[in-house]
Amino acid sequence: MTTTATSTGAARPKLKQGRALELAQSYGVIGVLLLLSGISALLFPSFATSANISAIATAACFIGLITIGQSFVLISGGIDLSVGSMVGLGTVIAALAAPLGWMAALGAPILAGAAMGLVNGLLIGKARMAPFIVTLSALLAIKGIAVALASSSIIIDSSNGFTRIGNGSFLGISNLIWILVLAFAAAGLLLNRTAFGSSVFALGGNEDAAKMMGTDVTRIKVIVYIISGALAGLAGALLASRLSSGVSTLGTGYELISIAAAVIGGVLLTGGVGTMLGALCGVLLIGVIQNIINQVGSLNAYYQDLVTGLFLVLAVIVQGILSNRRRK
Amino acid sequence: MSDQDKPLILQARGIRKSFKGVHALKTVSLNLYAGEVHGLNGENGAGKSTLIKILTGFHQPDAGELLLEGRPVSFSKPLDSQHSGISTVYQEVNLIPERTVAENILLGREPRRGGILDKRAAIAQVQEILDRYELNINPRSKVSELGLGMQQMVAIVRAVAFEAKVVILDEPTSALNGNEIEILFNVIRQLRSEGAAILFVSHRMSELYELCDRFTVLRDGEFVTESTPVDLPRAALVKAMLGGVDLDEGSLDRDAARDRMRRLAQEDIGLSVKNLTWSTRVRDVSFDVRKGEIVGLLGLLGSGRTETCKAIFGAVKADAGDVTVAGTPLTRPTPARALSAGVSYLSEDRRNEGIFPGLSVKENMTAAILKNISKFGFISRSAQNSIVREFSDELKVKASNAEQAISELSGGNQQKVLLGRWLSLGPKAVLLDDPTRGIDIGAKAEVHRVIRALAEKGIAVVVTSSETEELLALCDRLVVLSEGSVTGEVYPHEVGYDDVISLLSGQANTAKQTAGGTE
Amino acid sequence: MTTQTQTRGTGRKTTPGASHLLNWAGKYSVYLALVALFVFNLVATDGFASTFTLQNLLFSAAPIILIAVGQTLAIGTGGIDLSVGSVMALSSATVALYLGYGEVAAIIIAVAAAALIGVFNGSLIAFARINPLITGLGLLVAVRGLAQAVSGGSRSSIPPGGVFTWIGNASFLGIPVVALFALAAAGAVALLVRRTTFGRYALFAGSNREAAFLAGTPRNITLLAIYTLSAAFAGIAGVMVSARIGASDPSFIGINLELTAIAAVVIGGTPLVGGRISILGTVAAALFLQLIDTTFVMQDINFAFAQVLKAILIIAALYLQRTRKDAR
Repeated sequence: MTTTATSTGAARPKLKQGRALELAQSYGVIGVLLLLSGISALLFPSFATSANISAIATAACFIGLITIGQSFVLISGGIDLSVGSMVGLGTVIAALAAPLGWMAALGAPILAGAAMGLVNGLLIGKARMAPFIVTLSALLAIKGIAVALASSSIIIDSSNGFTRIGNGSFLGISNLIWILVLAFAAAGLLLNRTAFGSSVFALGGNEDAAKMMGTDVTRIKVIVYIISGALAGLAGALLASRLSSGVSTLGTGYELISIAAAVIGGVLLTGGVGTMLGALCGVLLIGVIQNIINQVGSLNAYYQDLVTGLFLVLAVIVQGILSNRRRK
Repeated sequence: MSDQDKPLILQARGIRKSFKGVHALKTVSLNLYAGEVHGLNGENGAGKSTLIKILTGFHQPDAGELLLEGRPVSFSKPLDSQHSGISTVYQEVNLIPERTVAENILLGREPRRGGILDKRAAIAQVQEILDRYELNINPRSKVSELGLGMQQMVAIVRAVAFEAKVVILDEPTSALNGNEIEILFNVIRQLRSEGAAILFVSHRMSELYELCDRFTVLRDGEFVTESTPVDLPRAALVKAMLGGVDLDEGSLDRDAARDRMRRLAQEDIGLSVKNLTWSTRVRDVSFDVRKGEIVGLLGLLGSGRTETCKAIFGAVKADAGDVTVAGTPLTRPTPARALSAGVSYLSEDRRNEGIFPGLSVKENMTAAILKNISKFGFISRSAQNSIVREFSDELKVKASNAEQAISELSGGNQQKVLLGRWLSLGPKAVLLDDPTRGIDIGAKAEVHRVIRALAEKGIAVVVTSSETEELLALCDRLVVLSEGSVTGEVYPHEVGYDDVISLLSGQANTAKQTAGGTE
Repeated sequence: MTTQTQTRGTGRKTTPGASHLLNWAGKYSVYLALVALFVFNLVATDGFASTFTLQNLLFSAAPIILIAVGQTLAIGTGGIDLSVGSVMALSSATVALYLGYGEVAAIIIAVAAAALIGVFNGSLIAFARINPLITGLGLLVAVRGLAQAVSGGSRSSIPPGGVFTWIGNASFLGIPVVALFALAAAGAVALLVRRTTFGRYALFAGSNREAAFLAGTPRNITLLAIYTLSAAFAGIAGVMVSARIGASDPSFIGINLELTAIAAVVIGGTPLVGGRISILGTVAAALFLQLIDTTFVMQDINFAFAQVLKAILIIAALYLQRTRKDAR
């Protein structure tokens, strides 16, 4: 017994450093978020107003919902590039279904998204095709369907109750923010407190081992893509409600922003690691950066894309360095 | 006999398995009794891993039957075998590195309350199991934070924690240090006392004799013997593993060999290795090879023979050491630098490190020489064709034509193509890592002929093999490796087969003890 | 023994004659499809058999052939280049920015800027060992953002009568000069692949990375060169499209074209796992995809369905490749 004590004792300082790096990897984003927000509050008087903060949070809802799905997929070791198009299709379906009532307008896009996720999941999980090419093709196909359904934007009548979901508030806080918070809480519970969540981590951490330990790998894969698709459909429905219209081009590029947000939030692209809190902070961080770019009058909105893309690459490089360090 | 006291748990009878016409197992039997540790012994290619894969449901036997507690069973996938109570721990730890010990042990059978995981109950359950095996591991630690040894322990605990009748441990000690091995052995003994049948594979002699109650020996896919450690002492065990084929002493002309040694002593040094060290796998290895000399690296599996070759060639970055090729130092070796310095390396892993599967015989054979036969980047087709023609003839490659995909050739012919790749470079020194692994007898003889011809040309040859007789028959000198260190040097013409066997078995013993002492 | 090994390649087909025919059809399916669709249009599409239509087809196909050829090399090494569409946009934006220095100078600077993105991408992939999928995704967003940011995102027309007008309209013996250029480039790359060490090194890297390393081949330099070439081709493609439409339009040029390029590669018979390169197949597939677009437009079918069809074609081609590989 004494022998083991010495061996763990020797490993301790290394362990501590590993923990620190791991914390940096998982929660560094919170620090960056707070720091950046603090600086912005000092530099731009209009930043720390309740209206601006509420605007950031509301805008974060749409990206936030698909980032939840994207995080499940990434943690399971996959990738879902089809969510952006699905948001666009979701707005179109919601707008088309709106005359049938708010439940149809909200439910139909979710079902469509889940169906798309099912197809993705079966091609990836059952037919064992590469996730990125399957979901990339789905991106193309869904965009095609959206354009076919609505070549121009479909306006939802403002008297329609459906538009209240995206524009109303509860206890003085926008419905969208409530939905975002509830969704992240539910996702966190699902990921960390259920057997399903454990299987997602196991699958992404070491697929062979998970299989040998008896995890039904195919089933888990299909489910994560269904979650991702359904949430993208929901994001589309809410976006349509917010804007009172369905437009096929809405959501373009969201797949990238959701991947960037998740990765910045500490979700490992190689799978097996990630937290919902981190992902949420990643979403907010991107929201704050885009807001700052807007505050700087001389920069046009396109710099948002430039910064988001570079941020993704940078986050991946930092992640690579951090996890290499830890492994040593 | 005491056999009668212990119930037979798992029995394999007349197991036969072949892959693409090559026999991996020919009528192999195995009997596992409750409360026993059973050592499964054999060299590379003896069929151990195929047998284990059949027991665990990865492969299905072509013939023969498995009986679990007397009832015939068949496993179509690994889960079937697991559900029947056969648990396996592999050489590479198969866990989820970024999850906790408790999560790994309980994955798929987590305690729940209303669908929500009960983490406190999970920790308590795991703590109880860990205590049972006297393991000082925190259930909340991430697996990646544990040393390899403790990870192995977690894998074993996962395998046995839930009613395992049979536990298969495939080289569990290869990555462990002395303390960890002790802990592992305690766990195994605890398991034995609980009545499990344990199948244990290790290449370390001392461990086998320390732990096992019974041995089964396989060789070339055939059952050799089942015995107890008392009835099968070390030298007998090694002999059973390596084959009883005594070398025909007459064929080894001692005088001729001595003459040859005298002649070789006049030659310059072709390849010199000094103090080569890489991690813990190659420790301070030094040896010289004269031009025209064939030196064999003799050692059991895991002795560092492959790693030594790779470190010389720069395929792995050595921590220390000097390599000199025909008097010129090879600084900071990489494969590209080693090749231009005149060193060729034939990997033991033909499939993953040798062939380009979709490409033709021609492309495969000329892959390393393209720079020399091209002008402004344009490859000279005539030069390419003539190289392929020359070496296909010399090595007697059997392919329908040079454009045939290499993956369509037999193993032996693939190996000849790769030999052609390295020999066409006109090397000063060649490292041939188990060049006859998995190829048929005809091709084997061909490879031996080629190796001798290389030496005739004055090339310094280093060769390894999992077959000791092969090295004895082929080499001028043998460098004995054990646990990454050079432990001796012998001349085949001065020693008998039995001497080498005892050297190998004895070496494995002393080396283990010194290694345990230093760690 | 020899008969055994030979039948292994073809799998478990019934009769040798049928399997031979199937193999032949599988190997040449893209050429058959191209010819069949062409003949269909000749017969069934009014106005298809005109110089105007066919020239138009080639004008549109030229940039796609170029980026698809670059993509073939990237995929042949087991990688992928997702940045090509955005690099086209950057090239177009650069043209507008430097038009003041003369048209030729603007073209050179545009292609150089594109190549520079390729150097960056290739360095991340070869030396920093980052997954090409991720560098490509990041650059896809960042480079499009950069292109739009420097140009303000707006369309600016190129004064007619100069080099650009010539590039956008000139024909030689009835064949558009841009198409001749693209075919010549494809021919040159095919020659590189077949006859040079560079082509071999690319194949080795894609076929067996470890074996390529042990054979002493310069894998990193090869990858760097390939991603640079791919980006440079995308830069030229951007110039071609700008010249054709007579304007610099970074918000629309090259959108989703990385998908079309990947589709061309996959349908053309280059497997996604690398190790085989079929330039001729890619060219045929690029023409085929462009012909699908033309067919949809001329048959007056909703163009959006062309997208859906392409997605299905990608998945189908991949599925066929998958089974062929599994059979081996």
